[in-house]
Amino acid sequence: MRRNILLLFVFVLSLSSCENQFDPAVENFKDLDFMYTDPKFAQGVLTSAYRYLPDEYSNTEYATDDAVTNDRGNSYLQMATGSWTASYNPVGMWVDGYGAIQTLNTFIERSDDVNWVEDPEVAELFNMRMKGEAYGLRGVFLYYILRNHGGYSVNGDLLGVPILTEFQDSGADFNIPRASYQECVEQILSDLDMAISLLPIEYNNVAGPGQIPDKYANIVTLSSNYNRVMGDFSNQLLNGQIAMAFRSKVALMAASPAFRNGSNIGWDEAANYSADVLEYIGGISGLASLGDTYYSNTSELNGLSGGNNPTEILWRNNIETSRSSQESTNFPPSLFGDGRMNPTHNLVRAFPMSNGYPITHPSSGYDSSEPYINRDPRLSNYIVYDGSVLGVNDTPIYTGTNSGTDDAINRLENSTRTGYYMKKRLRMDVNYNNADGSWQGQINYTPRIRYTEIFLNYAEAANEAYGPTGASSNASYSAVDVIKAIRERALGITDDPYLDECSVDKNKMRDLIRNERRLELSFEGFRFWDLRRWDEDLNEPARGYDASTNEVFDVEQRLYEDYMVYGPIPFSEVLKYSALLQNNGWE
Amino acid sequence: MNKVFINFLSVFVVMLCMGVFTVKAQENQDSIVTVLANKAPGDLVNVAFDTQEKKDVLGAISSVDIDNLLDKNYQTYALDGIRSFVGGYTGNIWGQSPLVLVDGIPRDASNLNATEVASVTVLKGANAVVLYGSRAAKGVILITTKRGKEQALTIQTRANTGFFVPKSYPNYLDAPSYMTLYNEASDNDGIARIYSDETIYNTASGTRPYRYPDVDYFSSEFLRETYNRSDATVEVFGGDEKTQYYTNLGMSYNNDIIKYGEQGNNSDLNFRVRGNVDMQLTSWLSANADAYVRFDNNYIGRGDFWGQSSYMRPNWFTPLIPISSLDSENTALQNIIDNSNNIIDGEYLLGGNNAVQTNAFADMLAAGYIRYKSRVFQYKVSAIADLSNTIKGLSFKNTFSIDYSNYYSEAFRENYATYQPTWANMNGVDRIISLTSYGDDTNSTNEYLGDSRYEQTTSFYSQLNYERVFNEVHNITGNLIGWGYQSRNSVDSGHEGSDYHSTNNTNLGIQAAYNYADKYYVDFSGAVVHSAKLPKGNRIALSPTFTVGWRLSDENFLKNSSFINNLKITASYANLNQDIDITDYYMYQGYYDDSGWYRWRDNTMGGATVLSERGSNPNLGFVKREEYRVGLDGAFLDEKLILNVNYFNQATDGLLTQGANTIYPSYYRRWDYSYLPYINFNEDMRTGVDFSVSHNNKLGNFEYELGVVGMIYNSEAVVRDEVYQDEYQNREGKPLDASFGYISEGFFVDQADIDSHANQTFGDVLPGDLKYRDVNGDGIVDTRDQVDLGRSGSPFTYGVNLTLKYKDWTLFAMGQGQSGAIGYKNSPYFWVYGNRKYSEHVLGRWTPETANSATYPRLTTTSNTNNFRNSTFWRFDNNRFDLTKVQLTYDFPDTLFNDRSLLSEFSLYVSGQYLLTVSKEREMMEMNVGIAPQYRFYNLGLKAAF
Repeated sequence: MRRNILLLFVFVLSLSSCENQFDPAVENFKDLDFMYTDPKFAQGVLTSAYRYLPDEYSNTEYATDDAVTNDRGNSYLQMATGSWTASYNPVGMWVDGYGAIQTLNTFIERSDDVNWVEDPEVAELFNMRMKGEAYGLRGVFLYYILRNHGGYSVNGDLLGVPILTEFQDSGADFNIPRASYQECVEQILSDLDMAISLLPIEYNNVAGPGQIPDKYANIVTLSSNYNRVMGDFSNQLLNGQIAMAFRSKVALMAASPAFRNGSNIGWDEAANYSADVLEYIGGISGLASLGDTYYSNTSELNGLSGGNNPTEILWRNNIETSRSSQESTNFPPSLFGDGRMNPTHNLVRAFPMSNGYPITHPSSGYDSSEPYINRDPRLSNYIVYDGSVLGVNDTPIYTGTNSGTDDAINRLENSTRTGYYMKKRLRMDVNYNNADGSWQGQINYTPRIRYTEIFLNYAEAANEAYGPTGASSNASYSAVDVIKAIRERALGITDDPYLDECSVDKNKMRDLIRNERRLELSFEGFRFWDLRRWDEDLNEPARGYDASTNEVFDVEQRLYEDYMVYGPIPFSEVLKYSALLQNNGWE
Repeated sequence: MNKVFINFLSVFVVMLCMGVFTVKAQENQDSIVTVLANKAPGDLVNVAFDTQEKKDVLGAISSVDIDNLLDKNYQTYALDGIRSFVGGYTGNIWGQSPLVLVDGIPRDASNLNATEVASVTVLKGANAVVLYGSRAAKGVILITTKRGKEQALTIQTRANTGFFVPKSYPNYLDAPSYMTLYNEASDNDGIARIYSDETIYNTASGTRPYRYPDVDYFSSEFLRETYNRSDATVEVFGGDEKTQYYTNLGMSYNNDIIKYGEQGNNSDLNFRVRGNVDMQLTSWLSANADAYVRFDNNYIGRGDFWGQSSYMRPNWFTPLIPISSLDSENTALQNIIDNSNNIIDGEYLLGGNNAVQTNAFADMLAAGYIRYKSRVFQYKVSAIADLSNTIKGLSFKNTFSIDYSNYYSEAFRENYATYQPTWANMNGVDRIISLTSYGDDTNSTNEYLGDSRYEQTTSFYSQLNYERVFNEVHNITGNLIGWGYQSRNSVDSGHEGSDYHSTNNTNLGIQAAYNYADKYYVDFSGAVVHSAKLPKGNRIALSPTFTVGWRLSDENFLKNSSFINNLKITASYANLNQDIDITDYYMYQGYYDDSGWYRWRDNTMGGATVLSERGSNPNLGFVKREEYRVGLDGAFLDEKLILNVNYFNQATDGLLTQGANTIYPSYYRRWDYSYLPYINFNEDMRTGVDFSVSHNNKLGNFEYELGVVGMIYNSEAVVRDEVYQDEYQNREGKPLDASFGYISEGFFVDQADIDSHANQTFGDVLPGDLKYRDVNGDGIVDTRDQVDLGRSGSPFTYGVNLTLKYKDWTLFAMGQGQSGAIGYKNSPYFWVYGNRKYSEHVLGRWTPETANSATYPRLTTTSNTNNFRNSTFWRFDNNRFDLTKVQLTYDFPDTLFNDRSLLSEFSLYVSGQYLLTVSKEREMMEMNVGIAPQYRFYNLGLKAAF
């Protein structure tokens, strides 16, 4: 009998070891049905789209005449120097854009069936707000896809991109042709209008039921219920003002030289949409006095919380309480930074004198042997040149090749290539602690939309539509009025003879407006797209300046072909889907 | 469906009990001979769950008798040199990565000592592995360890000691040459030089090495000429007819080639014990038990010396700063000395700079050490019941095993400060006037537990075996096997690296075989495999194989041939189902993930974001291996010539892909989300011929044996999820290991040459950069101009072994080779740009003067992505033959020993390992960059038996 027991024992052992052999260990996989019962999950479908918004500090300037980078492997550098193809596109928005639209369509299709909260009034408000955000974001993403991929196709038509208003499941027909440029613009405006109709202009708490905006008055009666959904808890989510600002952006783009034949949008519409935004802050009087140094207004930055915006800001990212990433990336080597953004001499020359004249103007008083004397204060605010002082200890920075410092041109791999470093976007009180190798960060944020941009949008559109001194029907100020205010803020001059000179010449005024845009919005991701929408020369070589020898030299050629005004449709998609036409030149 | 398996297992239990009771009733009847022990031991080959006489083997199976091989070829590890004996094996089997089984259990064999091993069997064909189920579908290496014998107690010992001699070190330029050429690179890029002539001159003079450093990593200051490895083994075995036992006890020790700082103490120590016992409990029941214990201790000083040797430029910093150069009047400097924890040899501070705040030298001198400890415990028990009393020829075997292995590190780390000196000339003498410090010296008193891993494997099998001969010619074999194993692991105390899911294999093996007079063979072997990785309903599949064999040499027309001793052909068809290539569980199920996060209102509000991570595919199924194979075994000329050849044609179908390139749009996937499902889509094809031929002869006192093995191997990607504009870019229709790159047309001669050539889209080009062919003629050179440049794996691999014996002297040699593959010289040693360390290869750089003779592109300080990408310029033919082993053995003649002498056997041997590489690219092949060098190993050993 003992034998039997022994053998049975062996058997039991072998059987016991095979538990779990037949089923996988349990995992929690969630599907979209969770949306109906878990409102946080449902909101997560919507908020994930915010993650795809492009970064305004993306440094596309590396690929323009405004800057180069010492990061030799940088994709924008590669793109600008001949690597840009339909299969290598560092400014592609196809995946992020349509990825976001997929999740937004998922949300829009289900939002009405989500059990947002028990209280039906509040539930309806939540549904309004979130759908408003979703429509608004769908318009925003289609704008970005259109900007980066729209253009003249191989058959000569100005085409937009496919418009997707429904979730594309794995059984869908993916062979969708591109919509016309005009249809895309109309779709974007329609989505943004939908958002504007559903959303409050800003998410402000109301003190009593009487202050509840009209469109919500017959839905909600308690101000506490209104505040719960539409109050400042929602700060920095998409609101009506942001949707309106994107109407200004899309109309300005569509009216621009590169797109005007086919967009069915005129400069007057761009001016009107821009004025709609500006009227809310009281027009020109709403121009923030310190708006041009938004990144370094110490007391303003240190006081930020709860998603409140400084007057300059229309939409921004969250504050980062101890940020040093911009400084560690862009400080010169002597301040332990990587010196990545190297502004060009081209950009430096675009800054006027402090009297407002361009340096090439006979009345400017520019002295090429003292190139940084009596210049627009924005130059020293935005750019580090030879002899600038920087950082907590006002460290002098010398960039001339004979200076013998690590900051000199091409000295180290993190030294400048142009003789300049970027100072904009940086706080001077961020500091590297050499003893423990850590950065001491400061509070800062990355803006998404500054009012200055909308002012410049208005000025550009109004000058084209009504001339330098004309105003749109919904505004009382002209392009000249706007530029005067911006230059007064920058230069501190009320008497601006060069502006007066331009105010009688629409073409000169256009150049001035474009130049002001280049300076005010420098290093914020605009130049790359502005040059294209204006159809300007893309191949201006990036130049540098050696203070030791007073020599101007070419740093990097720009190797764009003529067709590169418009970006490519992704190579892989054109191969897969026969209905998808490539843009001209990219095939 | 699990019930099917449970039911099968229940049947076993019932049958077993029946057997037990029947036997009990007949206990007094004796003289039952166990079937399993019935076979003659000499010519047995270990096959799946069984042993087989060599002449009856039907599959593509090769076996190496390690026990005997060791007498003429002492090797450390069991799998060393198998390539020289087995055709079709290159580490992979027929191009695929095999399952390694030690005594039938999945175990790591990379550290398995050769003295413990009796034989290694390589199971190549699908019909040979099918009984092991899904995870064995790419081939099996079956290692069988030694067991006791029915003989008097025998003690066998071995001792070895040997030296590792580095083959070669990289040749980097010294500091003055580096700086001169870096200046040239700066000139090429049109940027200012950063090294002055004075710096270069002072560095070259070598008289002021601390101010003008020129560090050579491969100098005798840091490295020994050789290092030593020694080992000793004692085997004790013996037994009577009831009980046999075997014990193997061994240890080994080696130090390291680095002798600097803490790394001078680097060492590896290994200790192991293996024991097993076979017991005949009653006339019908036997049992055996095996145990194995192994300890490995490694000690290593901190510091990535080899890694840094490959990128730290020689002039980059001063590793040691002499205190004597510090300005003695400067109290700040003297304070640094007083407060430093790390005054090296009483004379130096640790050097560094802004970019090199810590470095390998300082690490070795001041950062501490790590002790790695690995522990392995393995147990196995089996019971074998002869059930011949129930049904003649029936037996039952049941085995159960548990393996544990455990790995952890005890580490000690000390932070330290490094200093960058500022030099000045004071009264004609170099003096350090200030020091910039990086980091702080710390006082650490704690050793802490680092990395830890734990792994457990349990396995079992139950086997019902039926083997009987009727009328002396009808041989019938049947097998029913339930086999399974499960491995689990955990990594680190927080389990962050653990695999939540275990590795499983569960299957039922069925075999029915018949042979008529060892002349005509038929075999059906199959497996019912189960995979929990597939959706319910698709989890069980049958893998059938059919094999036939025919011994022509037993037919009348060949029977009397004096030339042919044995000639047998076999053919098989198999269709295996496997889940090895289904890398994870639940791949069929789509899901959404809410682990991301989005915040607003300045981070005071926020919530989880919900993203799709995968699309669903409820039809996901097994990957299939469909194989046709034909084999030939022959022995000729009085068995002086032995031949084995196999042809195989193997399709792997239904490999998973996500359809991202042919079906779904690109926005279906981003780094943080995916809507893509997994689908069975891709198909691979492998075909080839493997062979092994050996010839032996004896001429008086002289004996020799020569073996040649090899494989001709081809593969093809038959179906792929891909779309290319130009057909030549398709991977479909090309070998699986096709390597794509550009066709180089030499260097650009001048600007006119550049202007007239197609636009290259990898960055700005200058004269001296590489010119690539615009293959599709679209005026642009981009990824679309990559073409198939050759195979990265060798289409022909071979091995040879040679034994010469004269009286008591034996000379053994073996080698292995490959040809037909290509590679690229694309390591940082060859692709020198930017701030990389300059190797000797840059000396052949392009300059306007050397335009016609240059062997290397112009130097550059940028990353120059134009030149440094795989192209024909960097391609080389990866053909080589390696003489892996030569050993000379002297066996003291038997006449020296008699019954009274202590010794019964004594041998001495010397050997050399990896002695020679024959190749056009030998220099490159013998050089390691960024890791420890390759070594030749010279060993002296003795073997004695008592």
